[in-house]
Amino acid sequence: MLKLIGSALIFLCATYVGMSKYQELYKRKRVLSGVRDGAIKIRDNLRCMCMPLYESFLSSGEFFENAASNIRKGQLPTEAVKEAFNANCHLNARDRECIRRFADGLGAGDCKGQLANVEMFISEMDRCVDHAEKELGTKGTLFIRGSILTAAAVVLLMI
Amino acid sequence: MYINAFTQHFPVNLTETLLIMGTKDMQEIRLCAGRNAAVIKSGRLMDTGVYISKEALDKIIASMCRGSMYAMQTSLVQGFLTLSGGHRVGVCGRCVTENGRVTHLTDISSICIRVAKEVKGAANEVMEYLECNGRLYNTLIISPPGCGKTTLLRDIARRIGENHKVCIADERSEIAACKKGIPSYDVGKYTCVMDCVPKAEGILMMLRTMAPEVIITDETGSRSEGDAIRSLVNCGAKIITTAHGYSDGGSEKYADKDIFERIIILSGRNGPGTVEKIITDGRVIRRA
Repeated sequence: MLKLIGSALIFLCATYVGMSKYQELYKRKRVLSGVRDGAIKIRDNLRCMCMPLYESFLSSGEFFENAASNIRKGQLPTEAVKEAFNANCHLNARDRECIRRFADGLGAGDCKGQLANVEMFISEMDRCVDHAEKELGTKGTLFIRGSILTAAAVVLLMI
Repeated sequence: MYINAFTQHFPVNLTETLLIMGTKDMQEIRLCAGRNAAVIKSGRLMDTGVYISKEALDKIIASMCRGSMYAMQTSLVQGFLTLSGGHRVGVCGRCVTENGRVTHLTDISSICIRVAKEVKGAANEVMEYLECNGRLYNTLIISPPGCGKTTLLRDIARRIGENHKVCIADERSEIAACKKGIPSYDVGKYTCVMDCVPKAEGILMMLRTMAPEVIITDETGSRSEGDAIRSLVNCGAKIITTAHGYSDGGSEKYADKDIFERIIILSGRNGPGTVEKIITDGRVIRRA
């Protein structure tokens, strides 16, 4: 009986570890997709109305809204965006580097320059989202299957 | 408090100094990189003693533009930007030109903030000459800079806008100071505002689409603006506008007598808004 309970616990823990790893990869993909969609809205606001960044960020999704609230506190857009995304733990170093480059190009120059900066960021984000999707498909599946198989193997050994 | 509209962008020491000096009768604040800030208060130019570095001025400009200078380039290339509340900020720096036209303004070295105020009742002295028995008159207000033209115009819009269909072509967002389409100042119950529009285009747009009884605009003078005003008057609407000039320079002789039925000359002799002369049909009917 105890063996059975112990086996069930081991199985659940191992599966949980696999699922957590999968969730991390899923959240990274979700965050990057959200950022890319937000950047597309910012691009459209720039193209159609040459909208100031604060107003543009307000209507560009959760992540840019956090940057907008930083601007409201008195930060410049460059620092506001960097701070908003530094707080997000689902992004890896490469993602943060893309966002840092985008943030450094904000605010100065003319509307065309801003538009070029955003469009470059969108194409980088497209690459990051593709990469995240591939990782989810390969590593994510591996984590889940691996954790279930490992758990099953341990349980069988115990039994 | 209206002064918050620009002091929120200032360093703390400058804001504190301005509050100590008193903000009543403050007309202008002048900030130059590498020099002390100055103010014009009750017509006198005064040194605040607060040093403004280039870095501090850059921060002030970035704050005024909310980190989006590109969004302000249209007005910056004309040498100004407008803060909420209708305060006009004149900007000096290095111009980047292309084919003789200014395309960018960079390395900003000084700014001049013209403090805007709403003075309800500023038009009390002149209203009887502008409107009589429901009839409005084409009016030109002439004054030197800083003598209250825009403040007077704003109150005229408010008074006339209570009973007439008024349209304002507000090129620099100074008259109505619209924020997201809503005027910050009381410009009248039936007044419509076209914000940030070149005056000539604004006059013609509103003439075609808004059926105005009177169009109000500030600081006209170019040929295209004159043509737009002529079209407006030919269509039966009225115009009330302002121009730069001096009370003792005979500036009124340059006004088009075929259009303007009333000419009001202002000065700063007894403070902004001093009415020096009112001219009707070529005759001076009132003198200070």
